[in-house]
Amino acid sequence: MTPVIFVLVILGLVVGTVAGFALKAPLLPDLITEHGRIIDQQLVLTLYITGAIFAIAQLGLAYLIYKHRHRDGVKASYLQGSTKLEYTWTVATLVLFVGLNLMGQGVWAQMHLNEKPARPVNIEVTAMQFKWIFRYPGKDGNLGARAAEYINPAEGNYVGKDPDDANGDDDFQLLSMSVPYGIPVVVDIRSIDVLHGFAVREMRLKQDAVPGLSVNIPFTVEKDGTLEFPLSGNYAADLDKGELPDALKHELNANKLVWKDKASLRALEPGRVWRLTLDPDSINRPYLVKLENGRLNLYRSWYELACMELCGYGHYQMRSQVNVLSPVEYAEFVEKNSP
Amino acid sequence: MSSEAAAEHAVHVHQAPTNPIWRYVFSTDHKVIGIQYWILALVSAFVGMGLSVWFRLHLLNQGHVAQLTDQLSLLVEGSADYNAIKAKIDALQTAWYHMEPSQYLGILTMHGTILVFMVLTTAPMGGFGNYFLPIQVGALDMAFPRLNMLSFWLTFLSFVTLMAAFFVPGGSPNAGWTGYPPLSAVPDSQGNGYQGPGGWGQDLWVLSIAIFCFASLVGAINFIVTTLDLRTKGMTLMRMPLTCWAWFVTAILALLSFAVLLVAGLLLLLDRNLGTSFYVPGDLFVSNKLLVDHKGGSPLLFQHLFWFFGHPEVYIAIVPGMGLASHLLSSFARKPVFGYRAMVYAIFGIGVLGFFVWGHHMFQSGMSPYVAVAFSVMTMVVGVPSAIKTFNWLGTIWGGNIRFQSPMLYALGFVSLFVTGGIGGIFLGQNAVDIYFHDTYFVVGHFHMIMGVAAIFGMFAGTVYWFPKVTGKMMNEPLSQAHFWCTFLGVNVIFIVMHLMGLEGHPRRYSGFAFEFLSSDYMVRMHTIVTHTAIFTASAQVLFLINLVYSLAAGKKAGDNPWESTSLEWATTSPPPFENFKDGVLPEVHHGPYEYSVPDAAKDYIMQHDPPEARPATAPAPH
Ligand code: HEM
Ligand SMILES: [Cu+2]
Repeated sequence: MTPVIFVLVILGLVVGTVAGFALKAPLLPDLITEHGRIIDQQLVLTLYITGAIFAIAQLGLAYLIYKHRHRDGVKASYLQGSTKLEYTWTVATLVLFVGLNLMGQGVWAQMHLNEKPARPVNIEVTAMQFKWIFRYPGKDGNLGARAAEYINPAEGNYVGKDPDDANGDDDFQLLSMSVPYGIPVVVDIRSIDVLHGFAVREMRLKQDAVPGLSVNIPFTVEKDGTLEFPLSGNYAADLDKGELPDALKHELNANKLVWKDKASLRALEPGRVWRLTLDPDSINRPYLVKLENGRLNLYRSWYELACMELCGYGHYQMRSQVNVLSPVEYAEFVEKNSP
Repeated sequence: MSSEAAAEHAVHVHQAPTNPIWRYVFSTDHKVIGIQYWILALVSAFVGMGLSVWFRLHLLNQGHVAQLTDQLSLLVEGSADYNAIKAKIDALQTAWYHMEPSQYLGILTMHGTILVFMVLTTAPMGGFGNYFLPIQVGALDMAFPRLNMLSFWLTFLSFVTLMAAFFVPGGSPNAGWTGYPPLSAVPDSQGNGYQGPGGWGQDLWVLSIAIFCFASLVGAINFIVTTLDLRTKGMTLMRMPLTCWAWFVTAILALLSFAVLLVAGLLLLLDRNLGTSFYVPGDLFVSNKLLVDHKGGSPLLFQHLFWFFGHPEVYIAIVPGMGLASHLLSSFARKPVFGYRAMVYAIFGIGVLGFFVWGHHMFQSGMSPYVAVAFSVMTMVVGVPSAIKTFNWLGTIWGGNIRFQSPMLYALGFVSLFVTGGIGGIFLGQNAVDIYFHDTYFVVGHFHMIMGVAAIFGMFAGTVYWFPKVTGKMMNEPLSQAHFWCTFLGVNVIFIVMHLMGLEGHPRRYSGFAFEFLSSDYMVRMHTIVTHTAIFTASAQVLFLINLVYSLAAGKKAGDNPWESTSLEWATTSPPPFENFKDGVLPEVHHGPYEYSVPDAAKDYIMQHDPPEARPATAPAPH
């Protein structure tokens, strides 16, 4: 009886686990960065390989358990091992594991070892208990110097911007991050108190923020948004006029888009692409409405930024947001915010 | 000292004390100390498990709160629907198991620390190792019985110190079981709206770990010397059971790694209390002011020291289980261990390589990305001996005649869990893939599977296997089997689901769900499954407790060798006399440890101390 139960349980384990992964749809959150594609490829390849190893090893175990269950009159074999087999599986696993690993080194080099892209958009990311501060270099493209001695909470100067450095005159800081798509960005990640972790799932990017260190990571966003859902009505004409029709409002609400009944709207490409920003004053959630193949689709272009390194009681609420803008919108964003 | 001389020496000093205090409390008898360690681990395991059920309940609750809050934001404030949902949220937030965020982290930290140190590090070594290493190698006691006693009582002191952290002002430490500075080093940075500044709890945590390190060092020396010097006549190294090899390698790992953690802890204590700056860099801005009295420390230094200990530590937890699994698979499949030598080399390989991979916990920490490449490749290399062991376990039961008694069930469960848990490592060991998984529930699933549950299955296996030797009574077989199935099913569900949550990007160490992607239907469903299964699995542990108590009181009487095993502990009475072997006469060993089903032999097993003739000349040469 026991061996049969064992076989059934292991069968259940294998089927359940494989189903859990196979049926998870989508397998991973949407992907918006260029380097992320390679990470995903590597991840999925590893999933296939290890999935096969998992199934073979567990089913093999079940098979052996059943096949060699105790039966009266059967004697176990006096088999002490096999040097040939030992060599075979040692070399095979070594080649497989190390080979798999080396395949992933290219994207690591791209993110960490290679020269940083020329003339990127620079954004300074400062982590503190329990918020994120993003400083942009303004129109001159240069960030002002910083030092701890200039930190001044009364003026909201947590990053320690040097008031005397002219480079900093047009810097501006915000509590959420906006990045253009299609243009390389380099984030400079730092912390002014304890450890924090900068992570955006959709960007496949994660980096601890360490006090005393400043880590630069390049990335390029290559998508302008993630498909949220197709819209059922044809609102193109209204959208072009800058009006949010009631039917569309209902549709958004019905799809649980949480917003405080305030929206801004403009046509990026009249008749084809519109920027719809929900809650423009407070949370500022940008969406795109695109006319594609004669249908309107709603895309979200904001992503949640989470803290991934334990930083104290507020760790779980250390949330911010990354907004993806078109290069044109990004230029306007810089223009609008530069003092 | 030759082993004979050692044995003679030991006979003279080895006399049972008559006063029960010296015999059963402050005892130098390795058997008593082994039981003491085991009880400490059992108590700790139940405390740690209780805490986890508590925070699982809290988390499930938070999932519901998050979803209700989403609904709320779509409704008009003050409307009937709004008020109804608001009332539901309030009810959830005042449930008895609700935790404030800081309290959650405190309980989480204590859970991790208690289980890693007081359970996973004590029972396999201090418990089973203490009791059975001397008997299996044929010695009267450990090499240094007094040091042995010291090491247990220091461990106990460490336990008490850790427990005290629950009750001091400011509450338990909340920097996680890894205790990374600056959070753990700067009391003001733990200051929070809920409990006042993080204070003594963190100090007690560091102190407790420092004491624990010291105790482990002392214990490790004892294990190493005992293995090298006190083996009985004929017990060559290559005739030692794999359990002994495992304890031996574990002791070496402990010696080299706890020394480093001890230093890391002491420096942390100095940073906290004497204003030094080993880990605390200058210019920190905490609690709204600039810290001017620290300069030049490095938070990464602590991480390096911690994981230089931490990675070997995960092997300290699992290697004894590997040794025992090999031992049991052979014993209950009635077959020699497949590739005994390969197993020994693999254990050593893990031991040595295990010291060169600590950086895989730090891929995203800001350490040099060049070094990360080296650590990553080394990590994949250390996966190889783990794979070798798995192949050899399968080889051991291949062609066997498997008896499905409870020790074997746990051992087979160990193999299955080890495979599942190890697979997570193949993802995490790749620096590029770890970018996505680092600090998510995927990591939590991986290490619970392999270090938590697999190691604990090793302990269950050890308990049912050796219970008859220690108490003279058998454990109740149906109860053991029921416990095995419930636990095996439960842990698989819990920790595989956690891998899926990690795939969705769920961060570790979150006490609530302020994010949209954390309150999705998928996540909340997963949280529900995990919490419900955790409650089920925790309840199933009562079966184990009942079994212990019932068997102790009314268990069937065990003979000397109820499992028909070959190693020396089965050559003595159950329970063994104070001197381990009758009249303190040490057995002489003539055979390897896994002589099962030897062709032409009279029985299907030859015990290690059976006379040389027990092994027919016609049989193939032993490994
Ligand atoms: C196949 C071999 C293994 C590989 C390649 C591997 C790899 C890894 C890696 C890379 C991490 C860090 C992940 C991260 O934090 O982002 C990790 C975490 C961990 N592993 Fe493994 N591992 C293996 C086997 C084991 C074993 C045998 C144990 C214990 C018995 C273990 C216990 C742990 C623990 C406790 C952690 C998490 C520590 C923490 O952050 O709190 N691993 N593993
Ligand atoms: Cu490790």
